[in-house]
Amino acid sequence: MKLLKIKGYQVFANYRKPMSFNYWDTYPLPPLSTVRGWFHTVVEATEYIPIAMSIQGKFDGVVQDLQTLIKFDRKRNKEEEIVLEGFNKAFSKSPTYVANVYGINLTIYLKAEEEYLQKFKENLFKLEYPSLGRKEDLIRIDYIDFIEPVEEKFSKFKRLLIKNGMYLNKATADKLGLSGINYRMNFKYDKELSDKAGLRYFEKKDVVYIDSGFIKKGQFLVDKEEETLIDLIGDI
Amino acid sequence: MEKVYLGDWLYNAGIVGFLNINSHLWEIKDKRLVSKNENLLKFGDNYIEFDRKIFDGFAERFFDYAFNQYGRYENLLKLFEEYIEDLNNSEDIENFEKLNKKYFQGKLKDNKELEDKLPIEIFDRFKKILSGFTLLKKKLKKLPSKNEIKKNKSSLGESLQKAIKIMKENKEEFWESDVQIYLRNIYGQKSFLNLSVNKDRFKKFFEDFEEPLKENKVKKDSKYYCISCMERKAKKNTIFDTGISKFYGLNPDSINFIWNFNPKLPLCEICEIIYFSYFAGLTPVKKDDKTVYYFVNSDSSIDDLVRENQLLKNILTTEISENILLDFFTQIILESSYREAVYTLQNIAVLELDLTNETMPKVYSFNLSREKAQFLKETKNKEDLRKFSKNYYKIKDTKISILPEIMYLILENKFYFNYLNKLLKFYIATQNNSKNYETNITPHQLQVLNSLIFRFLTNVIGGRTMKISENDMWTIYYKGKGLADLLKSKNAENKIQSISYKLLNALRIGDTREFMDILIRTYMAYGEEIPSSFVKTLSDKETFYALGYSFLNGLLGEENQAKKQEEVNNNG
Repeated sequence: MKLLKIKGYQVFANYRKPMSFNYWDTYPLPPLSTVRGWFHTVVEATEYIPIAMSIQGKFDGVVQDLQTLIKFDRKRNKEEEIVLEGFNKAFSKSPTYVANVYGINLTIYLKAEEEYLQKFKENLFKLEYPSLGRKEDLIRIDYIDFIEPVEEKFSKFKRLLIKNGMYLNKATADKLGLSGINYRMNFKYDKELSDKAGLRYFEKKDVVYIDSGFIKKGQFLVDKEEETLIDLIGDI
Repeated sequence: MEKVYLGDWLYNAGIVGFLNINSHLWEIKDKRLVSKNENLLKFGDNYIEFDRKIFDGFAERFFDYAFNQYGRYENLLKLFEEYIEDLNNSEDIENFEKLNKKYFQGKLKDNKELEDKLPIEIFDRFKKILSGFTLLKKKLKKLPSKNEIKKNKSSLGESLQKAIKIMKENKEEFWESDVQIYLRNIYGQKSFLNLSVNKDRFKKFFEDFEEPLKENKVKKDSKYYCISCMERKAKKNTIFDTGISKFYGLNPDSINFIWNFNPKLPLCEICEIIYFSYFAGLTPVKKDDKTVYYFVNSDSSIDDLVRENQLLKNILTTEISENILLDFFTQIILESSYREAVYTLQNIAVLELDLTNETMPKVYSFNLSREKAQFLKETKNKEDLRKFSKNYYKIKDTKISILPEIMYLILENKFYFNYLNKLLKFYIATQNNSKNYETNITPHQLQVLNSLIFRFLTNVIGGRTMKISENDMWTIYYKGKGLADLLKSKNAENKIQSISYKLLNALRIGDTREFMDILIRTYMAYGEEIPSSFVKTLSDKETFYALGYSFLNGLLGEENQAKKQEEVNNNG
């Protein structure tokens, strides 16, 4: 099996949690739907391409930032009002707290049909400078290439240390006896339903974010070079 | 069973609120959240699960919670009784000062003036309250005039008595109306909060929520699913295009916040009632004459979310210090023995809301680097920090607790040996029965603090490779003790104080030469050889401080044998 491995660095990013409005909360690492969406945009997909991924990373900290957000607002027909033609809305600004993760070293493994992974690699810089999180959260790509993960068996005598943060399938975490933060995370949406309702309804996946621990049993995919576990989350 | 997962911060507040409203169904046992009846309510890592039977009696509990949180009714009853008492007591000269201060900021001259002015002052206050309390005003009908009160003081007392009587006799009506007034401010117009609803509000809530929820009779939308849980069908005609709350930042106009510019918010009846319960998840606090609400958003688990908010509530209601959030943060670090990931510690945010305003929530947080979070999460560090929970020092009459101060220094990256120097100075002063300084910290604790600083510098600040280990520090500590014992055996115990003070000074200014000088002279005076391990102190500043303070702590220390043994065990 070939996986596409991407390593990157972000100075600052907000991986916004859905439905967080007046206080923009963040996940510790880019969530599944964000990475899935990134992939689909880069390969210019017109329909859903089955994908699985492992998202890992190490960051320095979290800061709360007070930012001005540009908002569309109701027209109040005041003189100084700036009206956004075409939307029939007024332009307004409002301060909002935004949680930001900073100093993030990301490693992402993607699994999909090889032709798409190839296309992703080729297209990555062609469309525009890549970003992950919000549009302005640019990501510097330090490495992108195919790797061949290996399967390894772990035991009391051969353990693997988890050094970085990563999302695990809930089932994997349970099997390994590792505990962390449980998230029910958006993964992909149903296009037909979205077209019909005008809203995106997501299929969710139960994942566990962990940032430390030992793997002491079981057989898992490993990236030999980094000595990290690869636990693919997705639908292939 | 219906499952409800942790979500955005307001939804999380809703979950806490929903649990608070149903507080008869759970308890905190051995620091864990446990259900009293698993058939009705179950806790998962990041979800709660409940049977629809939970809604039996929900309306009443919901109203009760809001009524108590608003607190106006009880507060006013108490206040009116106080007014009556103060009126009755005003003739008694003994109460002059108290009443003068309470009502007139001490401006009145004598009791005569108080007797004249107090009824009018209380009457004005009473009238002001009534102007914001239409129901009571309506029921009271006529009030005496100021002239009447001047002539006959008891007429005011009678009015107050009457108000109390009316409130007590019509408690249910006040209950309904107060809940409506309170929640309308927070939620706008929804169900029984609608302006056109001015009677049978409880019935309306019961019919709109409790009954259909309990019986699962809510009409579903044919097209939409709930945008929050994305699993249940949306409730019919519940497109929340007016947003969930005033300050949530979502309204039909802010379409650029939403995917595809479509600000529709179809909700299912379960997510709706969760959002509708968020007021009960917040802790109200009086701040600068107005009420603000606090909430800790923690998404690591339901258990953490509930317990952290309880902790915040306890701190907010028991302590009024300037450092409320620092106290809270200190406790949260010390109490959470099972934090699952460093990230949760780094991401603790406390939100302050002014619910009656459309202003944004204020967010308070502490910026923790990964290393610092790891440092605070480490069991040994946590245990060591906990040892200072009862320590203080006093400068004249000002008492300062040591633990929050340590925490502050850690958060600010200012945790360094100079703090140790300060505490040692207070310790030595206390030993000398100083009038100005006092502390209850012991040399042994100071040595623990020394180790903590050492660990902080090596693990968090980084970039320093210390040439010594903690074991070296404890070895030197016992050398210090050894010297103290030697001095005692030679009947020179009184020397300890003066030597310590000189050593402390040398340490304060970082003078290695002076420090060694004092040591050499002391050891030589008693015919002893200076231990070779001191050579290490000369290598650099940090090593000098770590070892120098260790020695000094040992020299000052008066430990019993058991404690010494414990240290040996702990440190190999």
